[in-house]
Amino acid sequence: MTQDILAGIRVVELAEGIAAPYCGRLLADFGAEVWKIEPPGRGDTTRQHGPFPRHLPHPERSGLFLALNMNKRGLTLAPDTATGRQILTELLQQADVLIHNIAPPRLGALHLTPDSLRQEHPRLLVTAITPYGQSNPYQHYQGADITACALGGLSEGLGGAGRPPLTAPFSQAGYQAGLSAASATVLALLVRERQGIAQHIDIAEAEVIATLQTGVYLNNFVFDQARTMRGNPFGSRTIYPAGFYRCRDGFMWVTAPQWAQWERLLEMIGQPELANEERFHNRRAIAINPPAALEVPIAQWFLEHTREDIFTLCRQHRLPITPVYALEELLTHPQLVDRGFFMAVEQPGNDTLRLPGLPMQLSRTPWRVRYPAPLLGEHNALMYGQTLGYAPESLTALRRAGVI
Amino acid sequence: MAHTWLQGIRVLDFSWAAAGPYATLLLGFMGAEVLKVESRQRPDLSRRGFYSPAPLDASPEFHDLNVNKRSVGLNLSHPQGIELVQRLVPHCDVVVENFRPGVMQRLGLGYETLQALNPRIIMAAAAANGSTGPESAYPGYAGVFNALSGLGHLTGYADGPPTELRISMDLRVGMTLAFAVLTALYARRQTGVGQYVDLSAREAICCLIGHSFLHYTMNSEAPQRQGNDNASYAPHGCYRCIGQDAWVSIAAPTEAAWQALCQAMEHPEWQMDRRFRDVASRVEHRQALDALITAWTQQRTADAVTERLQQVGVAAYPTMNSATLAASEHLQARGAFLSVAHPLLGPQTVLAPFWRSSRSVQQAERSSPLLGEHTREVLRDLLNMTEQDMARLARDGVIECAEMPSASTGDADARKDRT
Repeated sequence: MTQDILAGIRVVELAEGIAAPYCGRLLADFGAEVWKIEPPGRGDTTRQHGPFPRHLPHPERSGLFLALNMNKRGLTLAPDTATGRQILTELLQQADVLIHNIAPPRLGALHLTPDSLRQEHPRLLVTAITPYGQSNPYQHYQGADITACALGGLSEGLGGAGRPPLTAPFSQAGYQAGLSAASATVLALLVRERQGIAQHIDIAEAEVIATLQTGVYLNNFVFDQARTMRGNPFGSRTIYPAGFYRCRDGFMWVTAPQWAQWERLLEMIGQPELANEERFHNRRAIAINPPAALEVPIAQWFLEHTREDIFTLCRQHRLPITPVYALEELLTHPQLVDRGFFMAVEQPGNDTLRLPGLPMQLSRTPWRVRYPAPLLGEHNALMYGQTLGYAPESLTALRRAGVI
Repeated sequence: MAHTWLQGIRVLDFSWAAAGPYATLLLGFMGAEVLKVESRQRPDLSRRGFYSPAPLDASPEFHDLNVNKRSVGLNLSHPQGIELVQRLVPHCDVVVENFRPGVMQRLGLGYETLQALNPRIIMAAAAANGSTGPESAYPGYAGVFNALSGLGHLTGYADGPPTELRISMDLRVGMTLAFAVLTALYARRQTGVGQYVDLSAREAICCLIGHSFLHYTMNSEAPQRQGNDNASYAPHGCYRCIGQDAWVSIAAPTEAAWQALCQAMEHPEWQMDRRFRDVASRVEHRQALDALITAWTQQRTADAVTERLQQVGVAAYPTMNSATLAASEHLQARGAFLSVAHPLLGPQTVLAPFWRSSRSVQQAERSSPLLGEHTREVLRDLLNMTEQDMARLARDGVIECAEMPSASTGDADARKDRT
């Protein structure tokens, strides 16, 4: 029998954007009860971002919002009002975890500093996800995905010599930080069960990118005294070939790190004799400036074939050479379809949402879709009325006052 | 106090290269005891060095990914090696592997077998395409996940080819695997039984570009490479500064940020410019806008631009290169660099994992292991094996124990490559 493993864990998500809501969604997908708090009136900023069906902006139809907030319950609350702050305390008294994305200056104003939270809610786990983290000289700096990729060193290594560094597309820092925060939160839940201690976790988006990237650059710096990896299509001292080659209908990722693979690649393109040439034997050395005698026949061969033909031949030759797929191709790709990777979320009054699921299957406690993202303030009556016991007339007053 | 959160959790780690080892590196930093199963016949790929050839026991790349772990030298091509693994499994909590699907079964170490030996065991498998589906048997490297996931297709200049995101692909997969293992450990705490975790590296990368798919599923539009442009607002980009190959990254997603940016650049009149009057106009005229911003940034250092713009609340940061990262005050202030002494390499800088906690500090307890460094200790402590037994197993080639540093770089391929 399967079950929702985080069922019964109550999470208050006082956050917007991508990173913190993605953290909340990962927990919600495994069954946690996530109460998402949005500012009354405008809601999460992602409600304005889209994409929107037929490009018609509508706060309840933003694909980004719907994707990041499925499986959650929705509340509106202004925690910077006295009553709003009181209601937040009441919510936190019932919660196991608070996820927020508030940087220290505003955290103080909201009385949500680690010290005050620890005093008021000693068992509460807190996961903070901000661009630069809670404790450092840059905590008040503004951040965006592109600045996280800049500080984390990702941008610098991507792109061509003499051209601007490249940022990674589609909020890499946000998703990566959300995943990291979810891992740290599950860890904190486990530690609370095992050792009875509650802790506050501090995740910095820029640092998450740095931990993924900086080791590579440090090595690069230490070994080669190289300032940059940009403009080197083969990376730092990797084994030739390793790069994208244009073919008839797109690109292939081409690599053959083992010598036997290299021999099979040359055989596949009809040039087996090139393997015997002594001057090409040191494939790290030639990667820096590949000789035309290799590049031309390889590039020519790929140009003459389609991705599918090449992929079939590569399977026969046992080569890890792979087509570069566009997104629309992935949606119908047999491997991903067979694994049921893309999910469909029914949205009452809205188009069905189709998007990636989670990349892991747990045999006993799988993730699942329970319900679509909430409308703005959809569960105010349920939470404030039924659970916290506010009378209908006081809810009306709170709504008029802009508290909820 | 270092992390002792997962104290008492023992991980039997068959993974190699970067993705699996990064997952177990994270678990090790959380306090789990990681036993790395390897052999001289099949050493971890990173022991030979990713960037330049290294002796098996002195590879900085291996060190980066394997601090805190213990190395158990076991020969899996020997039936007695498999038997030893089967005897170790009841003493372990988690098995991590990133072989191609089917390899563990062929070795006699499939989930059914391990589960029968230890119902509490969590087995986490991270294959390129997952363990099911028509392409599950295909092997994969970091570049392959990038190409197969759509991320490679989306990354790059609008007029250029796809772009590889290098080793960070593997580490992203490793981070996802660590999340899955933690979730399974939490589940075991509730249910008392382990489970099988089937992770697809390709899908892990798809998830990190999650909402890009919505442009197609909602509006049948196919996102393409767009360099540093952001589809929904401008300015957004890397701008040239004073200095050799120096750049600053700037984003102004809101009207307030745009107005503050114009004030900081001392060009308030740009707010009135018809080309830039609202976000849609700025997106349309982004090239003209980027040229104006570049004219301002290229007379200043990246640090000066950052300071000026952050003063007025605009997101900006110098685009760090290898040298400035190593000296980054921010990362140092956050405790991102740990120094770990390696017996052969000397003091090495490794990256602390991504979280900071109110209850403990980041610390590396031990260097990465020499190959087979802990074979004796583990077989003695967990299986009560005697010195005579171990001597016999070593003689028969079943187990390997660390000897003093080896200079061998490995197999015939590597020699032929003269790398």
